[in-house]
Amino acid sequence: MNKIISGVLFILFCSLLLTGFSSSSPIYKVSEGTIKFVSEASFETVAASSKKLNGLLDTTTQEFAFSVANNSFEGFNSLLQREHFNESYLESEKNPRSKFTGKIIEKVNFSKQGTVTVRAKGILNIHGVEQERILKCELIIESGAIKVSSNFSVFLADHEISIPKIVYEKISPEIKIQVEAIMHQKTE
Amino acid sequence: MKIRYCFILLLCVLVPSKMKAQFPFVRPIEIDKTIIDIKVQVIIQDNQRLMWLGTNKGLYSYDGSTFKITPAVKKGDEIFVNSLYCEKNGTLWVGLKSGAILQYKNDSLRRFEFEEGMPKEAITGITEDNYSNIWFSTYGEGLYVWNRKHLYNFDEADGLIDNYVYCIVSDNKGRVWCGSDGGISECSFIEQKKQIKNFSTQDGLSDNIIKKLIWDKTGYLWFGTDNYGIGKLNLKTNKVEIPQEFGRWNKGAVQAMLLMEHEVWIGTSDSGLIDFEFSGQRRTRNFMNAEGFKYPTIQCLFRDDEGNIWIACKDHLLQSPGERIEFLKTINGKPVSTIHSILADSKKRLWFSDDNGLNRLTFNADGTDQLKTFSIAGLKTPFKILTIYQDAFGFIWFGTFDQGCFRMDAETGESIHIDDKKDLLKQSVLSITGQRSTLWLATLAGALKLELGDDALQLRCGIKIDYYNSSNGLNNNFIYEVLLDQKNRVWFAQDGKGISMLDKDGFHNFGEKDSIKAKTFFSITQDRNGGLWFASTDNGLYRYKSDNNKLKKFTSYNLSNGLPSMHITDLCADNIGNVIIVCVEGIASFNLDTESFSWYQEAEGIEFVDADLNTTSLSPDGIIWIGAKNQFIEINTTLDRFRKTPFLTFERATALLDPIDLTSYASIPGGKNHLAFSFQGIWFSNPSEVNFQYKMEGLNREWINTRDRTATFPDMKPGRYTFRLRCSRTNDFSHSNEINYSFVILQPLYRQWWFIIFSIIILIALTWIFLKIRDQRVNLLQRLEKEKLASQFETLKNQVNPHFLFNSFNTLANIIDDDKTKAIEYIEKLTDFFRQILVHREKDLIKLEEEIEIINDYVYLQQQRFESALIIKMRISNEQAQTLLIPPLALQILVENAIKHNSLTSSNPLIIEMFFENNFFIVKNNLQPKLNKEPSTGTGLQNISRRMQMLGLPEIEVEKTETHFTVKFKLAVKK
Repeated sequence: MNKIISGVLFILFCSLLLTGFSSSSPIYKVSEGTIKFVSEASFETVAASSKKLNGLLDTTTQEFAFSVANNSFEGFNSLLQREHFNESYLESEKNPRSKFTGKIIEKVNFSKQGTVTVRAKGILNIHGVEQERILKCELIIESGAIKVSSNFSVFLADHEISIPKIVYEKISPEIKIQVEAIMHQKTE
Repeated sequence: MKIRYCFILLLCVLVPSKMKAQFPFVRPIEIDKTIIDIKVQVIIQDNQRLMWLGTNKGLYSYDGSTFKITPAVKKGDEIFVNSLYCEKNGTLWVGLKSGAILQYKNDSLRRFEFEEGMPKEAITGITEDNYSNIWFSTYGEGLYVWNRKHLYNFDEADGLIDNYVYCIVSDNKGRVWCGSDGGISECSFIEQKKQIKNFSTQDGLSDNIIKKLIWDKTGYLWFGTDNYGIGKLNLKTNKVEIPQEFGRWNKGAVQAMLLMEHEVWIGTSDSGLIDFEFSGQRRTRNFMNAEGFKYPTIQCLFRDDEGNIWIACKDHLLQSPGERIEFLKTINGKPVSTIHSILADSKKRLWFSDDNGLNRLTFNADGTDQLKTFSIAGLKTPFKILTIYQDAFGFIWFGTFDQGCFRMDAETGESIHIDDKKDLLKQSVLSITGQRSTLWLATLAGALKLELGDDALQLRCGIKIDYYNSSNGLNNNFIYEVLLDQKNRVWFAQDGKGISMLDKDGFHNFGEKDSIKAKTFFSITQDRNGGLWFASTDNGLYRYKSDNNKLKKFTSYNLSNGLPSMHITDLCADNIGNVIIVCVEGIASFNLDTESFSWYQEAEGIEFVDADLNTTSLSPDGIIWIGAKNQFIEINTTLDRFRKTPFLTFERATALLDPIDLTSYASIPGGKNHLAFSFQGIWFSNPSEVNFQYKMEGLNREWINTRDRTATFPDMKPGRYTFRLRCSRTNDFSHSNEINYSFVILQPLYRQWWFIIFSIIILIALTWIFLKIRDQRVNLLQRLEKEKLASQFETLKNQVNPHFLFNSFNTLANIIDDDKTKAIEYIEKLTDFFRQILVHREKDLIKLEEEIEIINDYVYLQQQRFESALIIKMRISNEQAQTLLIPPLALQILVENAIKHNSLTSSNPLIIEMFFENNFFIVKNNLQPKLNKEPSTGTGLQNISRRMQMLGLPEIEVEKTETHFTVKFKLAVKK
């Protein structure tokens, strides 16, 4: 009997210990993130950014999901421009969020601190149009935190964002996007 | 290691008798002596026919003569090439083990960067699909596809069966297949939509690990596995077919495959090269038994556009002409002896006679060779069988030396000795030919026509014999060969008497009157087009073309028009337009389409044939068998659909070391008239046999032969030229293709018309300007001279001015009584004054000092008259007086003028000042004009001014105020 109790206690202890060790969850969440885009056309440079970047990264499966609310972008040259951005181009009411979900191609050792360049392969959804993309990202792995940064470009045509002829010279067909995020380990 | 080799050796010993024993020739090729351990990973040929070899030590190109390593992008970069692909536009893609991708374009290798980042695993394969997407297979990251804008990935998450991919191939429908650790995946990427279909062992594959794939263009995908040999996937039905021969495979992983028309060559990891004939007899053979092939690990196989097969073994590179020419040197392990006659029968069995007698070699479907030697009843030893023939009824005929001929049952070997009740039993039968039931025998006693009876299906059938010899129309009784042509004419090759022909009109003899120089002929063959070919013993080859029954002349072929050798032993035409000419030194072939000879020789393994006369036979499947000394040579012209002539290209051209763009017409400046061309005749089969011929149209009248790959033309005269180049494998260039390059060398600058005219204009202008300047100078001098004379005249005129003299004498008269000494001094001064005028008047300039002396004398003379009414104030330093120059008498004139125009009284004396101010010499006097003005000529000032001007000095400045009269001028500095 004693043996059984001590056995049960041992198992309990072990499981506690295990959960204690595994309490560092494999899921990382964006705690601070900025996404910025720049359109450099011959007549005008339009830039806007949003700090409402959400994102999750599972370090075991290497899967990730990032998204940003389209109407959270600020910093346009004029209020009218912002209105156009939301109403004419991205149609934010219909497509409230832009997303990028997928998986990291190379095997990353997330327990090793340091800087690694990885390629994230996933589906980029902008304007409700999905495009498969591979995006080059830099990860700075620290204890309990991962800094993510990536620069890439999006062709408006790829996402069926049509630009009226009149504003051709004001909006570049290729939009440069810059993402910076700090992800922390999820505690719950 | 040793054990493995023992095993392989054991394999070699055990297997041979089970396998097909004829093998092609192979020769080793050295890539780079300076680098050890080069392992070729991949071989391709680019659009310019250059070979590219990807190795563990870098990328090499090979033009047939030299291997060139392509310099790394950065020095010290390790280039371990795993895959190569050449696009249609010539761009070469290079996949490295490190995952990097390079591009070779415009003679340089550069790193290719995708915006999406580069793969990190080895690039195992590269291909292009119908939509011009470039595909990359990686070992660990699946596939990548680049649509020339973005890079996309196919991996397990997309449904790919495995991420570890070994190879990738594309078909003509936009599909791509890859072989991986999990099986085969069919992928397509159309309008950014990924489609994947997988095949694994569940779908019938023999093995999951697929190392090599080949798409055969007819709907089959051949695959090579890690453990279970090869198989093929029917792309229409998606059914897997595994040849039964591969049911029990134990030869290791398939690392390379080469698909040919009837066979597939399989490069294995540890059993060397294996050949599987999938159509026809389905035989396999192991090259480990063949000379030169004994390397157990094959890395890759490639066939170039000349039909050469390149075999990369572990540390060796081999080149082989492939199954077009094969050699049978042993039968069941025993070496072949000298062959006297040969016949490939209707069942593709090989009959031949050697010193042992008549033999029949059967190539069994199970891969064994079965040799049967027949003992012939009635044939006395020693004997020699000279010819073998199979009649329309399947019976074998053979002619002997001195013992007549025999008819034999091809299966049982039962034979009869043909007896004509004359002397056929003792006759030498040199050749037998025929058609249906008619047979022709060539003997040393004329030709015999044998007509087989209706019972010809029986061995012993009725035979009716007609005799043709010198007594009834033939030129000669010594007949070497008889040929029955397609028009039922009978041709006779005779000793010493040329060629005879028998048609329905009787005998026709051809000899000297038909410009046939040769006397003795021993071989005849008829080509596909009905043309006849005759081989002579000492005068080469004669060809007879007859169209529409019209007799045409004979064409002679010898060394001068392309025949590579005069030592012919036999002729044999195939059914597709080639005539094979067996010579002592090698084997030549004449192609009816290109009308040219080519030469099989050392590079294809034919060294010295030295066959007996008439020992060739055309097998029903189109293969020509040649029986020679210690070997059979098998020439398969049906497989020879490859490039036959060297591929001629310009490598580069330079004008005085500056490269010329060969894609456009060039105008070369006259000063760069030193031209150099370098070119290539790519011919991997035998690079050393390539001859070039060039001609600079506009300079050379004749073609110039060379074996060098460069031609230089120093100091070319201006004009239009065309550089014409051709190359050939023989000395005959008449059928070789030509490339050329036209350009113009311009007149040198000094001979251009515009330059000449321009020069003349410039010359005239210069002369004109020169004359003009000289004119002006002369004028100036003349004027100066004139002014000087005028000044002298003026001065003289002034000095001999009677007023001055009267005044002077008057003064003198006044003082001569009072003071005699003073009078004498006065006279001395006067004399001095006049002398100085005379001394200096010729000069342009005198020292200021000297002028001051004149002034002093003059003033002295004047002061005797005016006494204190004239005051001269001179503030001139000694240095100034000595260094500065002044036109003679300039000051004297000014002083004289002052005295002349002003009233001088003791109460209001005339004060003349001379001094320097701001580098100007100033002569200044107070102005108190006379009441009765003396007439002023004004010549004095003018004269000074002009002289100054002519001497290049600034003009004098005259200032006249109420109180003062000032003259300002610059003096010259003594040099």
